[in-house]
Amino acid sequence: MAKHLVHPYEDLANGQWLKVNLHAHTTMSDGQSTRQQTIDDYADRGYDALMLSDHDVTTLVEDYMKLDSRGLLLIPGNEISANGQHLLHVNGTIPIRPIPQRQTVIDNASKQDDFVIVNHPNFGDSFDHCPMRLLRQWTGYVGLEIYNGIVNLATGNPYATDKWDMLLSEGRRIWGLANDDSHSRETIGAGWNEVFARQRTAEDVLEAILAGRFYATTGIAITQISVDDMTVTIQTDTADRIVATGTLGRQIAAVDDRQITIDVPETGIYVRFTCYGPHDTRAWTQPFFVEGHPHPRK
Amino acid sequence: MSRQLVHPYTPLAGARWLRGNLHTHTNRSDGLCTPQQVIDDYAARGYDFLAITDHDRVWTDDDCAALDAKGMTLIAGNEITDGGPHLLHIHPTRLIDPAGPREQVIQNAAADRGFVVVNHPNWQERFDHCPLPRLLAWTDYIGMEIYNGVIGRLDGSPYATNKWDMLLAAGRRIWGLANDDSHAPMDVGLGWNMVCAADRSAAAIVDALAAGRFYATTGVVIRHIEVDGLRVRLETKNAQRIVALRQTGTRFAVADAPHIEVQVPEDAQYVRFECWGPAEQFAWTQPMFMADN
Repeated sequence: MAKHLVHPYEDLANGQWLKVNLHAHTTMSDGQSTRQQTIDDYADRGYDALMLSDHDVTTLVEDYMKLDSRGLLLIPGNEISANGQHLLHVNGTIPIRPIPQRQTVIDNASKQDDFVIVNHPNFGDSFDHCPMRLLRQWTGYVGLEIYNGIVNLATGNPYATDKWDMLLSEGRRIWGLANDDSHSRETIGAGWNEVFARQRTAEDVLEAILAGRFYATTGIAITQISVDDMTVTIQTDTADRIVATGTLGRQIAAVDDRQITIDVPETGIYVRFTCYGPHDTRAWTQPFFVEGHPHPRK
Repeated sequence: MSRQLVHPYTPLAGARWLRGNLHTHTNRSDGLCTPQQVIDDYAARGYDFLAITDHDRVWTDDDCAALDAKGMTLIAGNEITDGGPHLLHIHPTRLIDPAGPREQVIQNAAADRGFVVVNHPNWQERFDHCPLPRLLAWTDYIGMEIYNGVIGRLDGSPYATNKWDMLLAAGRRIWGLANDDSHAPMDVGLGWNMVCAADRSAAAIVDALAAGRFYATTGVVIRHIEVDGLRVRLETKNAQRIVALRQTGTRFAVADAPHIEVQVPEDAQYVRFECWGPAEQFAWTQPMFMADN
């Protein structure tokens, strides 16, 4: 049976690209700026959407209503922190108890229109804040921070594409995100998500993230993503190299150019693209999954 | 008591920078090309030295002398393969039996001649060909492949700076190497080492490597490394960003320029530099270690 690609970029005509960071700390936990200063800083830098994610302190819709949004779409949530691995609770409308049983936490944080992202998996002295054992065991989380800006300045590695590739190769469908994890004005703008939302509303941003209709970036803009049967074309503004990565991190193709077109091998589980640009800027597409069915499952 | 950096880049009168790859396969093991074809390929690309390292099949000085080096310095070599994580034995006099506990095999190789390097630590489906506990337990190796070219097209990651930083933070003094691990022409020229050697002889190159007087690269050229007390200055030809890292992989300075000058914090255990160029090219300096004066 002919293979085809299942991917989140089916409809990039109807909507707009929005700049989104889901991980920022304020003086409500260990950040240096107030909630309002943080909103101001992100607004000044041209962001469209922001989630304040203080440690075990949920910023609710009511809290945002007391602040000046400066035109930003503000998403309620927090960073579930105490007693275990750090998790973003996105669109969280009630505080979740950070008990050590993280699977229960993930379940409790995914009950309505809220969802969970696993944070900075390679943070820490052992480069292993969230071990593969747990990432394999847990179900129900939507994404993984494949880039976390603040980890540049802490121990461990800001990147986590190694764990992402292992999960994807085991058949998991997990999205990759880039977030600042900002704790001060100076740590804003390191990594973000370009999200293709139908309308410029918080609901549509969340819908697009859940659907994977975004890419993670530290500075490169992806200007076109098109799929024709098993052929994928990626175009960028400033990449000087694009690498197509398949199962278990294997490089399928690489071109020293700002665009790439490849025929995805039918033998793999997925393909994803990493775009490399000047000054260590990168962008990562979400995975395109190889499936044996004649038509995408709805 | 004042503090200073112990580092391998002390000026060396009359020295020259030489380009070389230390991990190369031929059709004597699982490579595609004959030894002479491999040599011709590297020589045509301007390499100064090359070690041929087939799997558990030693290339001795005499074996190397029987080949046409095409102007390069050929260094004896072997990849110790069977029975555990893969190891380069550079400049051996004889084949080391790969059987037995790996620690013993490493000691046997180090006691022969030359030195031992641990290969592609993040190869394979778990990105963990050589796990950290083994790297911490073993003592007689001098270096680790922080980049291995062929892993780009295989399972796992070609990079291993994560394990390097953990070893360095544990107080180990391990050098970082970049090698092709070439098995076919497509693998040639992906990563190499620039060595500051007293002359072009195999002995001088091996001495410089063992002393850490080299940097690993996939395309960025380092032109100048200068250390004065706790100040370090680095100049490259083509880096766009240079990052200074301390334990454990923590960035303490960054410059969006082909050069950087930093004052190393006194509480740094070590510092190393990553130079990031266009098109995913890197260069990595060796670590500089903090010591009391």
